Order: sequence, then C-alpha cells, then structure tokens
Amino acid sequence: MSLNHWVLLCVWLSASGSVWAIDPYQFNSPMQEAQYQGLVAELRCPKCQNQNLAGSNAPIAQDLKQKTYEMVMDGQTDQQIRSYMIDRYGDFVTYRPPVRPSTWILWFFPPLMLVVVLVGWLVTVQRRQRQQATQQLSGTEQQRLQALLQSSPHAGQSRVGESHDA
Amino acid sequence: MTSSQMNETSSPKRRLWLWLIPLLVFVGLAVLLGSRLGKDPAIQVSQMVGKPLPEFSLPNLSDGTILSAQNLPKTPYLLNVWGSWCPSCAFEHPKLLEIAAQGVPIVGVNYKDEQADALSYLAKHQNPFVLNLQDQAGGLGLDLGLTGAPESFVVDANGIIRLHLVGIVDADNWQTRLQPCLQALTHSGSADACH
Repeated sequence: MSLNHWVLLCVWLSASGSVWAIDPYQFNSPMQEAQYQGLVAELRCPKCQNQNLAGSNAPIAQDLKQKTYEMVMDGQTDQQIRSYMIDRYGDFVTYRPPVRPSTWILWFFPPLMLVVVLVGWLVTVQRRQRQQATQQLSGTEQQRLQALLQSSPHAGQSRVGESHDA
Repeated sequence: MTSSQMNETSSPKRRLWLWLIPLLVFVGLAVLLGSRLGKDPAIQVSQMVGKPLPEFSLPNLSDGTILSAQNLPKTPYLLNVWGSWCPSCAFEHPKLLEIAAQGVPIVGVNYKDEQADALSYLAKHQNPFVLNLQDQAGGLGLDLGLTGAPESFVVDANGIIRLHLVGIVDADNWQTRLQPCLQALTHSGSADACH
C-alpha cells in the first residue's frame, strides 16, 4: 500500500466517523450539545449489543437518541438521563456501569491486579539485589577466578578438537 | 554446588508453581469460556419483571377511544408488541391465534405503526387480540424497556409484569415458559413458574 493509499484510507475513515456523529438535532448551547454527544457515546444500544447509541441506526437506538435529546433540552442532568435508561434497560445499557457490590470486580480488579504485580516486582528486584550483594567475591577467590580465566582458552580448544574427532 | 547456584536453579517447590499457575489459569479460562459455548451471546436482563405495567394513555387501535390501565383484563393476560411493518410478527401470528383460541386474553400494543396499515394487517391475518393499544410514538415501548418487535409480556391479575420475552412466541417457549407462567398465575396467583 503506497502512502497515497494510506492518506485516502485515513480521510475516508475520518469522514465516515463524522457521518455517524451527525444527528439532525438543534441545541441551544454548545454545552447541551456536548452533554448529548457524551451521553449517546456512553449509552449502549439495547438491540445491537456492541454499539453505542451514537453508532447505531437501529430503530430503538434512534428512539433512545430522541429521548436523550428531549431530556437534554428539558435541562435534565447526566445522572437523571442515565438513571432513566438504567430503570428501563438495566446496567447493561451504559458503558459506564455504576459502582455497587455487583460491579466491584469490574471496577477494582484491574487496579488491584496492578498493585499486586508492582509489589511482586519490587520484592523480586530487592531480593535479587540483596543476593548480588552477598555474591561479592573475596580477594583470594578473585585471584583464583583470574587464574581460571587465563587457562580457559587452551581448555576450550582441546574440547573443540575432541568433538571434531568424534 | 554453592548456595547461590542452588537459588539460581530454583527449589522444586518454586518450579512446581511456575507451571502450576499457568495451568490453573488455563483451566479456569477454559471452564469459563466453555460454559458459554453454544449459548445465546445476547444479554437479556429485563428490568420490567416484578414491576407494574407502566402507566399509559393511548388510543384504542379500532376506534380511537383513549385507554388506560383500567381498561385492561383483570385476569392474567399476554401483552404482545407488534407492528404491520415487522416480518417476525407475521411469523409468530399463527401461534398467537392458536393461543387466543385456547382462551388466553392477548392485549396488543401496535408499536410505531400507521392505523390503516395495522387494521388491514389484522383483517388479512385475523385478529387474536382482545384490544390493541396504538403506540404510534413508541413511548409505551420505551417504558416497557423494549428492544424491538415482537416482544411479549405476561401480566398478572394485579397488573404486575411477570415475564418478558424478547423475540417471537413459538411452540417451544409457549410450552416451556409462557403457558406454565400463565397457568400458575391463573390457578394460584403464584409467579414461581415465571422465569
């Protein structure tokens, strides 16, 4: 794929993205529009289960977008609109589920896992450092090591010779 | 072998854990995923079961008179959401006629439809409904937590929703879910058979 193709693809993707986002609604203020856009991005279509309202053209998603629009224009808060949807369609309808005992695992398991892994990593690193500290060679051990290293090339050659013979 | 070399090669206990942990994770995942194999991936959590039928004030499809909850049957009944535009509704229609013939009252919610289309649909396919609420704007549909049409609800004598069925009524779910629920509600008023 040439560079031109990539540019075309990107343009096409960004264009198709904005097609989804445009709804024929008029708002009184940019704040209301932002509230509406935020909600339809966060709320899930109950029919087509892996799309949000913004991305879905299912009839029920259009109805829920209309309802969201009406409630935004009516001056209702995000929380009021969210709970209207949850009353009818359950926690399922939002991609930001409320924090309650049944959703604790969802909210707290990933950060807990991160903490466990970080603590485990720190403990391992510290233990390894302590081991290395005790592994320092004494003066006589150092001399023996040097002696061994100097004699080793010869030993290595003879071993290679043996393997050729075999 | 020095003590530090012992540590490098690890104790047998540690090596055991090194392959036991991935094995346990694998088995756990296999059980979790395997238990969902072949099942319907769609999540259906009805919020309506156990709640009263939402309040409404809608025209009667046949004559336009305004109906509310007090016009609905006082015995357990089936509430069916349909539209003349909905192919699956036409597919389940013969089953509804059969159920109505058994004496079960069926209340229709004519959902997002035109009156003329709905009436000619009923004239063509016969009418299994004791009455039809005309929900042209879909407001009752939203309050029912509807995801589309057709959907059916079992409502008890006190107007409490006891069962929510997404999709068509067929011989299978009629026998295993709807009929036992309606019968138990009619005979003992108990909703234990509704699931």
